[in-house]
Amino acid sequence: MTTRPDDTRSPLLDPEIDPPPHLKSRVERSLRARRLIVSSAPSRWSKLIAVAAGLVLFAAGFGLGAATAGGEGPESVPDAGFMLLLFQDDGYQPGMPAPEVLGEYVEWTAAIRRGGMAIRGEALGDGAAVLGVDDFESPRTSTSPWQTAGAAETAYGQLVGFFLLATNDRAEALSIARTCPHLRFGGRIVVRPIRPT
Amino acid sequence: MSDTDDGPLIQAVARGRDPRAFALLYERHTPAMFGLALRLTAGDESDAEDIVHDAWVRAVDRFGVFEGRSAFRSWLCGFVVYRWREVRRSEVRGTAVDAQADLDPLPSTDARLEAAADRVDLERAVRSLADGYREVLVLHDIQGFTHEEIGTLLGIEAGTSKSQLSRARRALRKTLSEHGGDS
Repeated sequence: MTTRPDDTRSPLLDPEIDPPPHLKSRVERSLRARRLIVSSAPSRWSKLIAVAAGLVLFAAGFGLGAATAGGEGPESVPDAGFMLLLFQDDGYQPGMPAPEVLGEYVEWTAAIRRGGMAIRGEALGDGAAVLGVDDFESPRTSTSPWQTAGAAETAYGQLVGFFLLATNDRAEALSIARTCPHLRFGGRIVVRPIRPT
Repeated sequence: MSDTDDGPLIQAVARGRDPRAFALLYERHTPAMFGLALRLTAGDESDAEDIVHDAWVRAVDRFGVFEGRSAFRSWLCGFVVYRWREVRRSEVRGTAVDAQADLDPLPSTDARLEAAADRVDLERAVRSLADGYREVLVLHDIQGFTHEEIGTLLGIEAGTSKSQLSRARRALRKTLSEHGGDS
């Protein structure tokens, strides 16, 4: 490091100027979009939405039996070939009351069922335990591995739920995922094939 | 704020993508970055905001290679300067400044002028300078960069930075006196 300027007087003008308040969130959004930072702990709003999403997914799963081939009941999705993993972070902003958000998901799943495809959804609860090799058969009991929401952040935000789709067609799975209101609300969906067993 | 304080936060962002660590770094350094950008853009808040935004995104992307050979704030301000120069080039504006000017010795600071000048007039006078003059004057006299650091940032010799500053100060005095600031 070189020496400071050749005199010790005060600067002509204050070198620091407060930036506009909205700049911080703008920068953070850009950093999240580039995966350079992860999301903050869920806000009260996003927690509320998570609860709503849970109700939605439960509602979506309930009553699938009528549309499920063979009548296996609401818990079954025979021939489920793809899973839609739903993530959300602070960018998840439905911009409407929770009941209306719920209605959007219900209508979406109902439309898929009307098209003859079985679909089942579940929401994940708060908290997570992230285990690794050090935890394998560990006798450790002094600290709980359970952490509050936000502890198990991924590059896509929090995993908040999933849908199972009864299709083995990748294009069809993608096509359906693209219509999910979760995307419109600012969430992310990871589409994964289920390995046949 | 010392670099020692920033170090763990930089690592937390680079390795853990920790948003809280980033928020602390943002709060500490953005006022200086925005002050620099606002002066470089001659008071254009919209451009200054864009420049600071782009500077942060680029800087965070390179946190992992920050070696601490310069002060962290200086390193960040470097991204502001680089981005501003890109914007300036794209706009094809500004007045060319002779980078090979004679290496005039730095004149002593005119304390009387500084004492008399109203801050608003001074801010306006700084804005009125040609881009090349304003760049060096803002970096040296307002942000506190050394001529060596300015030389590295702008790709010029330290001596050239000194001569640019000398000319910038003369231009600043002239502007202020023409507007009654030196009476």
